[in-house]
Amino acid sequence: MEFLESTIHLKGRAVSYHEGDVHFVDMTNIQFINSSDIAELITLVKGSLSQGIEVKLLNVCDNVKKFIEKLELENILTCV
Amino acid sequence: MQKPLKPFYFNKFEHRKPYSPIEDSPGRTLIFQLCGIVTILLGCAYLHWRWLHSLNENAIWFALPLVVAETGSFIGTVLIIFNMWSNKDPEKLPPVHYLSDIEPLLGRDDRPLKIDVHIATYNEDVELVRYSIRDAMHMTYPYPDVEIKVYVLDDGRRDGRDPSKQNMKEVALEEGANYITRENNEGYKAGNLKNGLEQTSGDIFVILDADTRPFPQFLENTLGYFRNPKVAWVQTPQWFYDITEAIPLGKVVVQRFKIKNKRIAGFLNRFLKHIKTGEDIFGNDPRLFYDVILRRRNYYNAAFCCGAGSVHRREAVMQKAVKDFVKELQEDVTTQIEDKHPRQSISAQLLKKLRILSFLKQEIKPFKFHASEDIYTSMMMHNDSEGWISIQHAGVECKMLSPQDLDTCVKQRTRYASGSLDIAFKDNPFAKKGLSWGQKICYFNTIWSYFAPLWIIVFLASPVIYFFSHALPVKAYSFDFFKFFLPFQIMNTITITLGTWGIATGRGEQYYISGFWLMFRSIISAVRGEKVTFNVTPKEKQMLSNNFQHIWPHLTLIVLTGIGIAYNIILVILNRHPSLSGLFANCCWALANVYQLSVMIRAANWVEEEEEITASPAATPQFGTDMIGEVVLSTGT
Repeated sequence: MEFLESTIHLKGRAVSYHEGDVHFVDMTNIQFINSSDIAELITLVKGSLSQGIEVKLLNVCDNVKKFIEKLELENILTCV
Repeated sequence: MQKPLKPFYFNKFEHRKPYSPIEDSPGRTLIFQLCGIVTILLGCAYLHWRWLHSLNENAIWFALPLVVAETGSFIGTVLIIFNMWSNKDPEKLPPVHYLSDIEPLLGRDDRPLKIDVHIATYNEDVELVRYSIRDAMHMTYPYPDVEIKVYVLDDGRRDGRDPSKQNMKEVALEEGANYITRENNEGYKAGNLKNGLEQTSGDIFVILDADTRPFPQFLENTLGYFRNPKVAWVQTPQWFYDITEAIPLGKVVVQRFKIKNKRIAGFLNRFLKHIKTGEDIFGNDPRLFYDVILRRRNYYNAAFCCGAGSVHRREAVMQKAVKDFVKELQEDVTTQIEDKHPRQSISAQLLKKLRILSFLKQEIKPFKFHASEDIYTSMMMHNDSEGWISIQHAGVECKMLSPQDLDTCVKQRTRYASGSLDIAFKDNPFAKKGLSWGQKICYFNTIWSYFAPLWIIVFLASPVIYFFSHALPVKAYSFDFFKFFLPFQIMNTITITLGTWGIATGRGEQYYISGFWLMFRSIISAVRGEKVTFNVTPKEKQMLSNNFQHIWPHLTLIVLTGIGIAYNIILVILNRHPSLSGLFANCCWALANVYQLSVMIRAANWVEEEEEITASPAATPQFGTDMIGEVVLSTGT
């Protein structure tokens, strides 16, 4: 099943792919993110980490990065 | 075709109309403020005299607790005056339509808003919940492109998997609503709401309880406030439309004593028809709270959410939840380092491992997992650096059911008290740096009010102690005493009357006093650090209630008062009484106490008259659904 299939807020906005022990979430199309999106991302990261899989966010725009930093989530949501 | 509604006891109250909010009057507010200042000054003068000049050194064991109790009570008075100081109803704005009406788009395309209505249920009769779902489905909104979805959040897992349970899912779907359930009950109602939020996406969501029935204009009248992007939630008054009616005393006497003789019964009915009794016998009417206490807190931006009948901005709730998640994560990592690796330098790898472990443990909680999740979450939202605004909407926009027996009332109030006291001990509002002083004092006022039994017990016991010991807590009930006491008491009464203008407060005052025992037990539980449990309030009368456990202290005090007065009268007759003025003052005091205490005894023995209810147009719900013929409802025991 696609990694983002179960999501409500991110489905259709971001795409994901799997490589080794890492899930990459491509955020190219996401220019804005709100707290519900963030909460959903955190839940996804938790689910993956409990199975030993890391999640990395790709192509994160400045707006989104700033919001992640504002919420002090840089250590949780890894942007590459 | 809609399914007919099952008849319930509350059908006979369908015709009742909600109250209109108190009209704001700047003149009355000014007089109230002047009287408030005078009351506080007189109170200070009285307490100054009490502490420095009136204590009876010969009975200091009695005098000291009483003066401490009076001081505690006076602090409560000051806090209430502060709370009621001024009114600031927020401006009513037209209902919101597009996303851009409630928040900046920041590069996004605009779109019509999405609104979710969450009806939280656990074990209530699904046919009772059907009323709420149907009313929620009948809410109107001026913009047809605004998507309004109703969700039944069922914590009872009544989705048809267990044939012994009613099927909540079926009812929700029959009414056109959505159904959400979960596999555990973690976090009780707060957890249920969290689960609902995780599976929905409305920009704004409404919280309703299983018995909360919104009026058609609920959304139209409340969503305009969200034009201010800082408004986090709007609370509407909870209006209990099923509180007990006033009954002529004659009717009660005839029924109570089973008077069969028609002439005697007729005479009693005629003679006592103007004296009425039993109105709101359980003290459920929350109008004073919503129309005065909470509404006046708009002035300080300190009105807290009470759950049912509230509307929330999803972004506000979720942002705070994420921030708390991060904060708790950081605190947990720090605690782990301090506990397990004191005075050691932590390697980056170990730190990462600790972070991951902690991260997996933490949970995003839009509402605090707490027995008083509403007030607790509100306090944390007000404390947030984002500067969220709360609004207490004045008009009644929904109706609800009240506890129908004393035992249920006591359990509900015990939960409120225990929850608030638990917050006081764990998260004192004065320690919250993000709260303004107005907000701190308002939250403290709520908490302080739950400490009231500590002084109420002293006030209730004092005359009884006097009757048997003849010890006086003051040097004498002299002119000096009344010179300080009466002006303060009279001004206090005038001030509170002005502050609560237009609202009957008698029943509330009675329950404030007579609820001392349940609140006292809550204090004991909080001091012991006992876990506060979340009990769902039953929506119908409980037939197997043990009310004696709630009223034995009241009965004891009343019996002791009776014996004490009789004993003292004998002493007067024998000319051996030490102080007639002391006896007179304490008799007045004791009788006032008995009057206040008596309400709970009456409530414990309350038997509602049996009556035949016909499903008349007046008893038909306002949306015109079919009722099933003639039914006989008996709510008596």
